[in-house]
Amino acid sequence: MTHAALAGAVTRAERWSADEALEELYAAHWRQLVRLAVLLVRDVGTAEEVVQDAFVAMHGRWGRLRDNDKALAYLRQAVVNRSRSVLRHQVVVDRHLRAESARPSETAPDADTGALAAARRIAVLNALGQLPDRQREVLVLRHYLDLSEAEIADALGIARGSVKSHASRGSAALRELLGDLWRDES
Amino acid sequence: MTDHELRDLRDLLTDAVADVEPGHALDQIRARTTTTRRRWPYAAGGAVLAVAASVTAFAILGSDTTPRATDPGSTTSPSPTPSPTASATDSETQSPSAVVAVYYVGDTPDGPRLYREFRSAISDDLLTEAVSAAVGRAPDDRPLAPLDPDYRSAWQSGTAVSVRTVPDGDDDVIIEINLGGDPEGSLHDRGSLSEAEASLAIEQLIYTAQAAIGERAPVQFLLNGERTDQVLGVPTSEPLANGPVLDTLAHVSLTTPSEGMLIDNDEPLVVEGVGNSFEGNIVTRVEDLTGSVVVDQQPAIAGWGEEKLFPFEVTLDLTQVSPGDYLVVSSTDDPSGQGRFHSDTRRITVVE
Repeated sequence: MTHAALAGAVTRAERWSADEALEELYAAHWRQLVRLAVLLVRDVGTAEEVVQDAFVAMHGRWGRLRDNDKALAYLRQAVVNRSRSVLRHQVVVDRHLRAESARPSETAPDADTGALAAARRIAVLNALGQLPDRQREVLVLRHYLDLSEAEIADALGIARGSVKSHASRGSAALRELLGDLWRDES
Repeated sequence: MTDHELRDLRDLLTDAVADVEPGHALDQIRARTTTTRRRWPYAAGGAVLAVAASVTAFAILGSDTTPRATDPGSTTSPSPTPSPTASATDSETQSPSAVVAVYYVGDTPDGPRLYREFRSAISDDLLTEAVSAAVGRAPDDRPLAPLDPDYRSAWQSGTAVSVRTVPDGDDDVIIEINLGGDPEGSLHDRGSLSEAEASLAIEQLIYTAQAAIGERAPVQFLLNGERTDQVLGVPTSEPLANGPVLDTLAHVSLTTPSEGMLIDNDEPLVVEGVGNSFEGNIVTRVEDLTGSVVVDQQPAIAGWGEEKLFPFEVTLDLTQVSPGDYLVVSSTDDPSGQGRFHSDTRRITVVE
């Protein structure tokens, strides 16, 4: 699109900046957001769909976001919300399908990745899957994305005090589920 | 937790997805942002325009807009009982002075539809408070999300509304919804919302306002106090009727339990909602969070064949359910066997 074509056309200019923002945010965050979604829904294919949907929705709302930081916050929120919806939808629609898709990352372990490391990855994803939604979301936003309590409260639409309690209950539950794996970091 | 344990947790999470290398998707995303989406049949047909005189109260009103007796203090009466001591920040923990029905967008196999959620209300203007909740705004102007995380508002934060009823002839009223708060352009035009999303956004406010006054009155939209040819690209120069129920609302919507409700497993769980399903069948079950059924599905008869949602009710026995978090799932029947049923879910916590 040429600059001449943009001149004077506000909606087209907005359109262009939405496309540009999409490209920039995709380049910078696609992989991390998919990984975030894998921590939430386990299945890589589902995670990619969730994040694709989030990008499409973000593009649609660009006229009101108009800012890469806000757009990134929106993307994270959309990924968390859609992941939760997907999990529930799967529960509702087809439990067999869910069992199928609930398998952890389909990527085969690298040849030089120890069996213990692979087992640990699976165990961590399985353990996350057993946590209540909120605890899983808070843990992942806090410790995977390094968001502050205030940012998490905004993203999930809950009070900061709830973030704290979900985080502490979630990590306690995860510790119990993981047992020795929690500390065996070698 | 010690710093060391925190670091361990972070490493565990990072490591758990370190081997995930997603495929390239930018082209697919781009294709989807330029696709012309399905036209919203209702708006496309021009039927969305209805003059006040042609609108009469809907038969569905009784079942659709009246909170059940199980909502403490519930009312859709336009004469609220304000509770001056209630504060907006912890309204959910206070005993509500009134309950309003708020319509939010959620997903179904037929695309996004509206679901109804009952919320406690605290202000002395239930009509404005309910419609404000639908656009995601609390009485103190803070953002307000639906209680059920499966729902969303189609309106962006920053949208503000004030709502009133104005007489229309001897007996009728028109609901006047005045939108503002955002830059005018973004509320006037559809922007990059799909037509379906824009139409549902308008329907959210029409259905919510009609429920608040207990009457299917036509709705006149204003933008910053002025009549406007369109809102979000939807023609609004004349008062609008609500969209057809079965094309606008999800075909099952739960009233009780509410999201996150604590339930004693000694007590029978009464599940109530409204629905419209093949041969009237709505099935309800309880599942744990891994999807295992802990209370087998039980049928309830709502109704079908008419343009309305029918109330249904089913009582479940939780005595064999151990304490913990569960999902109550109510679904419509699907005679096609293609999985195209509507459902609504509520998270509950069962205690002893």
